Amino acid sequence: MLLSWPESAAASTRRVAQLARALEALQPPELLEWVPGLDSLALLYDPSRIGLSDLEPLIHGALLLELPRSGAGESHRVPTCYHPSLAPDLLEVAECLGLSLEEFVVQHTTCEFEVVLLGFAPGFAYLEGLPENLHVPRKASPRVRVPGGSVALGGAQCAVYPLESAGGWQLVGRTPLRLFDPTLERPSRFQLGDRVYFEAVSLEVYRELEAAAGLTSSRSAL
Amino acid sequence: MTGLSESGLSESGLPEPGPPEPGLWVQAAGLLTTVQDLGRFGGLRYGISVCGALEGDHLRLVGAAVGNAVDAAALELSGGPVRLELWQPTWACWLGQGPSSLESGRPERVTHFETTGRGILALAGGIAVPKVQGSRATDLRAGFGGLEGRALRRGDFLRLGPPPPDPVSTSPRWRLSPLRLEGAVRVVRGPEWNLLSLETQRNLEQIIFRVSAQSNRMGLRLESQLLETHFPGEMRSSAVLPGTVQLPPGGRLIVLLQDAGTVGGYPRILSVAAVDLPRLAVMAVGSEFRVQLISSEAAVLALLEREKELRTLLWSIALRRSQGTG
Repeated sequence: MLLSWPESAAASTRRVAQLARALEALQPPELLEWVPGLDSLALLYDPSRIGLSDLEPLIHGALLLELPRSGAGESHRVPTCYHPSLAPDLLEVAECLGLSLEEFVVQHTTCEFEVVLLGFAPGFAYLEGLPENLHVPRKASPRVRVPGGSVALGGAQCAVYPLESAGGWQLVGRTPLRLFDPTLERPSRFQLGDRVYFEAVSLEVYRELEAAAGLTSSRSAL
Repeated sequence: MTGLSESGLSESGLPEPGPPEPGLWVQAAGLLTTVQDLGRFGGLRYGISVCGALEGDHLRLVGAAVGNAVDAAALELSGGPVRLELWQPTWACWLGQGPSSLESGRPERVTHFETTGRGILALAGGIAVPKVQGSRATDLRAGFGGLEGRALRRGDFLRLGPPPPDPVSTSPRWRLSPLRLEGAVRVVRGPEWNLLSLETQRNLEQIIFRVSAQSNRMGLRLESQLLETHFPGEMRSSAVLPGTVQLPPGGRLIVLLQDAGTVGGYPRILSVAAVDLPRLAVMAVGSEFRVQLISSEAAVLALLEREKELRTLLWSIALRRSQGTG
């Protein structure tokens, strides 16, 4: 079952996040799973156990659940190294935006981002809150290999690649934070509605944090 | 759960006879052999794909035939020469296509298995890899689950779980037959069905689709005449599932399969009825088929009917096992 909201982008994203948080709190046994989109929410159920009509009271109940509105999510400070050796698109992006490298870093680290969608890859969070003067088009052809931890810009959004994968976004930084760990009960560090801030760190600090996190920059499994 | 240790290898590269523990040694791994179960649920909202066997219904049957629990993992083979050596006689059931050392659908106690075909192999006790996010299925893209999140390689050693109580003393005389597709692939309208041009909507059932060589466990790419849409530009990302049929700007359909991502931005023109998805998912490259548009109510009914058939079959397997004959 797919619920969608034909409202303005911001309003529908808020509605989805609200309902998703309500479901997270209720953990209804009727549902196998729910999948928030940007302006939609998919509900998965087992038709051999319940019918479509059984879902209606559940949704109405969840929508009525009083939850603190936005701002309830956690805040994350993401140490990020904006060094060209870890951010292959940084110089080009800054130039394209008409900014110096320093100006770009200052602007990016003063943004307040909100997690509006998790998907594409495990723990991959779509972050909204990029001012228009930092919007850059995606790469004409996607990279085959984007290192895990890459901080990236794509159109109006920002994201961090949790694991090494292919990808077409512009890579402007790298964080040593581990954003996805399949062995944890909540495998994704970022949750829908969370706030995310980036903090600039030097290459030395990045290396130290990386060593502490036991994260190696190359993964062979992919 | 790791590959064979160095000390276990003789000069010929073959292992010395090891301790008689339940397990198997991969002598040839085929094109893509993976550890799979019925899939991983509960993590879609974190971006974790479902994964699991393409033919989940077949997995349930072969698993039951060797007495395994419903959450036990089996091996999914996608063709190419596979050779497995069991370290002790083990009940096995293979349901697949192509020549194999074990008759398809007939459980037998073996010490060796060999095939070049595609299908599912269940071994008594199940493949004993740890559950990650509630499942033993291999997530090839994210690199976890199954054996180290990857396909099997020559030289791998896999442990098996404790064998289930084994009342079958002689080889059973019964045999499972694979489920088949009858006629066209049943599909229902997807959320963005209306983006398809009216003419394409009307002619959909006449179009012949062919499975492209670029297909994999993430999706089946279909070749056909170009499908016309009135596409309003970029769609806002929304949930997709195994069975979702996307229409990218190129005009050719992609049927998403078990390893697909969890959200997508292409119009979801159709969904394949869950009852027919396993058969479509393993169609050979070059196979041709048509689709039949049905209502979502009819799709649910067909699935429930199949579920009833399957459960009847599973019960009769359990009964025959407990009686020891067929």
